[in-house]
Amino acid sequence: MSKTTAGSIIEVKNLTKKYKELTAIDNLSFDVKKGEILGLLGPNGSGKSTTINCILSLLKFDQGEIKILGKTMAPDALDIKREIGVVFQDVAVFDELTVWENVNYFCGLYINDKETCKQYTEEALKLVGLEDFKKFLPKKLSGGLLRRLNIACGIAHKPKIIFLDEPTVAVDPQSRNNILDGIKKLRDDGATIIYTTHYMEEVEILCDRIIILDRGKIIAAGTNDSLKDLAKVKERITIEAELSTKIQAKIAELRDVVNVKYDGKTMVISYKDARKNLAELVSLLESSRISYGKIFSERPTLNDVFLELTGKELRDQ
Amino acid sequence: MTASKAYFKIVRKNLWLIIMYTLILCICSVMNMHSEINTTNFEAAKANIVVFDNDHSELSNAFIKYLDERTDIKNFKDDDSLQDALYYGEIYFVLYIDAGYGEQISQGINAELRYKQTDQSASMLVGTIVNRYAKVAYSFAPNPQSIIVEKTNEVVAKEAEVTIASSLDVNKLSDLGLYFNFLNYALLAGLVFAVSFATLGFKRTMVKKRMTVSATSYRTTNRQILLCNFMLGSILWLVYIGIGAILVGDMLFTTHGLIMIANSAIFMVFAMAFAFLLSNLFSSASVLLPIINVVSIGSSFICGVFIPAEWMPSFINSLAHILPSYYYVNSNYRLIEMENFSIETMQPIILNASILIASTIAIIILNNYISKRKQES
Amino acid sequence: MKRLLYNFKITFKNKELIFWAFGFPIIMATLFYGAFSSLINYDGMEPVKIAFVENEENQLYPVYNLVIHSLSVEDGATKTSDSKIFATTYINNRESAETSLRKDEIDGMIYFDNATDFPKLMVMTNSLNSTIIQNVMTEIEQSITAGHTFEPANLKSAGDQKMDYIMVEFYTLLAMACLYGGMIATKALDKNLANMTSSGRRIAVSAVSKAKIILGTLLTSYIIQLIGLAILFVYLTMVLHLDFGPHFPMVVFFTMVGALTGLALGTFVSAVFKVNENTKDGILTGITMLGCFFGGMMGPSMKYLVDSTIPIVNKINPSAIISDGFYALNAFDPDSNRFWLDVVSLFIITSILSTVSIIVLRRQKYDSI
Repeated sequence: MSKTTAGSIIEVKNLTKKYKELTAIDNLSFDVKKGEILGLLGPNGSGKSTTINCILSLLKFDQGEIKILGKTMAPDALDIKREIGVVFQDVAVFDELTVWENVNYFCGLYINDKETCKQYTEEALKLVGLEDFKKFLPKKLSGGLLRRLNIACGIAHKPKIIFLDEPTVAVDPQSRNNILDGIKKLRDDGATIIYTTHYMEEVEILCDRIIILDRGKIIAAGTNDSLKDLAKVKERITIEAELSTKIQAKIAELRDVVNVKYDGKTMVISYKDARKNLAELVSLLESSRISYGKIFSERPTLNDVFLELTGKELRDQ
Repeated sequence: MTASKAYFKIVRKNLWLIIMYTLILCICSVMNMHSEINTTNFEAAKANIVVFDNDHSELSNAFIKYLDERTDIKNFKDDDSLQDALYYGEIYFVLYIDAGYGEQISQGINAELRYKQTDQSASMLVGTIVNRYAKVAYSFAPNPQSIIVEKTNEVVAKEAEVTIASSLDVNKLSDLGLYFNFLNYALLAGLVFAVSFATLGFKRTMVKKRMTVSATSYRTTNRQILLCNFMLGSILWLVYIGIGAILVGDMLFTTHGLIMIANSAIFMVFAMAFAFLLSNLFSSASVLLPIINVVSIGSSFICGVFIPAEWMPSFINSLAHILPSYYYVNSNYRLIEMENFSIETMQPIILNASILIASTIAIIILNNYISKRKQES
Repeated sequence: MKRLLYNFKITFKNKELIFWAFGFPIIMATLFYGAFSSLINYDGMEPVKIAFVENEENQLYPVYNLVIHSLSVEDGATKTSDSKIFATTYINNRESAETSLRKDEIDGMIYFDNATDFPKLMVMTNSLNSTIIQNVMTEIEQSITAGHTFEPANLKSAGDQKMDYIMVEFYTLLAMACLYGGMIATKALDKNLANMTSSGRRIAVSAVSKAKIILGTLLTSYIIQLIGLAILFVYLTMVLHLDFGPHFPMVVFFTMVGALTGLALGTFVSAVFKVNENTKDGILTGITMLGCFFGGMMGPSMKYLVDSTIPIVNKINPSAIISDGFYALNAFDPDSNRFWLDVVSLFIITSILSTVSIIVLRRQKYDSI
């Protein structure tokens, strides 16, 4: 066994994949630590799914090295594959089999023992909340339930490493929360998870570490907080009020204000530092006897980070 | 004409498959036309036979000479290929003249002649020719072979005088009819396949949903698609007519040929409407393809395209009457034998054409009804 | 084993596919049988319709009248019997007879031109029936010329096996069923290929080797194909009462070989053609129907024509080889080279298709999915 970066369960070095003129992945290098949830965040077309497919040895790549559990990943590395579970973006189930049969079938591709397989199938269905739908055919399930089935099929065999490729696309909020809770439980049970999405809220809730991709390149990597620290704007306060030009100017002169936007009803103030800004603003408004409606403060989001780094929004390119 | 643009884009995407099927049918048409075994235009005199003469007597030589004048005597190298030729109807009759035949007849013994033949009527007629010489020869026994030969030849030279009343070139007309009859299969298989495949793209669930909620009514969309079907069908039909022109030459531009072209045009329109109906009812190729094959091959068989209608039992002929193909093929058969063209002689053709047109209209109405019901559901 | 059972369930649940893979050959067999039934169950042909123009002034008229009368069926009879082959209308007006002839009411008219000559025959075109009439008249004329009647010649059939020409249609039908069954393999395999379906992608990343998955899928498909063929055989032999000759076990064996070729063809189409499901169906159907055409489905003589003019076509055409194998079993000894050559040919074709499929399927990674 070759030496790995300490604690790294997956190592990707200098991965490059091209489709004729287009470079889908450009010299990508990262590793995944054991027991962590790594988020791959990026807009549509940034290379998230392509990266996953290359790691899983589904796609050819032009350059680079991929190691999982210290061994080079290959299509016929069945011992490695036994430790991996995948939840694809497209629902990958058989329309002809029931919910129970689908999970049992795919579990059976990893677990030889019939009884163990049966047990794992039941546990997987319980984990995703599909116990009451065992005998249903996939076409009878709603989108959210179908996604839960998709997950159950991918994790039933209790893999050590789980790849989840945008598992909550087109899913209702209840199902989404259910899925996210399930993922946390999996991590708590010892799995290492690689999670791709373009929903920043999800990575903020779930991920220990986040890699932001754009056009096949890593543009930022780190924890949620460290990434947000990259943003120039550290706090944003929104206030609903009717403000005269004079007051607008006074607000703009407040300490650490970098930007003010007012559309006649709502003002958004961006600060370069997050120190008692709200108190100072409220104080100013009250001293000027200005009444106001809603007022709230928020920290920068990953979208802000992405926007600053690339000039684009994370969603809806 | 949004639907039309989409339609032809789908056609372009599947063009190679449509071309492949068209080529298949063109090859089939060409080979069918050039098949020497034309069961609808029988001439016993041209029948192929094989003779094995192990006697080499004066009588057997005269016998073979007699047969040579009335049939085509072929040679075969081995038993297997002879067996094949016999089975597949390339050879109608095999005669074995054993050693001593001439001598036995000369002595007044009704010597045995062995033969093989097929079940086909033409084979039995060749048998009649063979039987005739043999029995006439025996009737002059016992006698020296030279006398038997002389008397037999004198008798068998007499044949009933036949006058052909028709002034038509039956062989060429048969070829013409054969080609246009085969078009029944080509149109029902190839045209229907091409059009169905082009329309399949509009039948995908999500596409249908989008079209249902759009501001264009199903009637308008159906009309556009039907028009596109017609355009695609017309192009393919023209290709088939072009091939026909190459195969049958000038015959295509005779009165017979032009009426057959018109007949095939009417049938082509029916085929288009039928294709549209099929693609409306079924949205998967794995269902459409076998149905197309059943309809095209099945109707071609029972309506007399591949085998003559007179070979089939009466209940099948009756059953064939419910199929539009029957009226198309029936018109072609009538046209082959039509000596002159008048209102009276053309009446059955006009009636057949009317039935075809009525069938087409009925299918269009049915199609609209089905579309409406599907939209509502 | 569990996977095999799941594979069965997945395939059988595709009711459309199963119905048409099993039902299509049965429907075609029924249509063929219906079309050919009068030839298979031959019970006599229709009498040849003639008009005999009476002319008592002709000295040969009584002889012809007697003979033709003896060869004519009773009024209203629809089938020939014994030597009675004519449905005769006696008419004393030549013009009326000619009108009937031109209206296609009769096949020929026999008339006398003058008092001493033999009668003449007028027909519209050369046809089987006109030749029959001509033969009879020639017979009478020769008999009169010879001055005596003729004893039948001593003709003995040298054929030891009665083979129905029409059976070629059913042989090609079996060939079609064998090859069309390959569609089961195509559909089943697509579900396991990463570049075709999502479930295929999931299977590709699983811990079972691709070879095992594919072999299991193909085994299931083959068994289903054989079930369909068994149903077809039962229908052909028990319902339509067709005779496949005295070597039925060999017929079964050969059908299994044919089904294997169909399986290989279906696998080949699935593996090699990177197109959608509908297009694959179109390709497989096109190959099968073209092969069946050259194998004689739309007329047995087509097979012979292709065999004699462009033999290479039918040497590589699985439909024609399967059809030929069934024919060889019936026409020749099962030990004949001909039959075993067909078996070997099918195995070669199967091997080539399988080899190409394996080379393509072995591909572990894709350029894009």
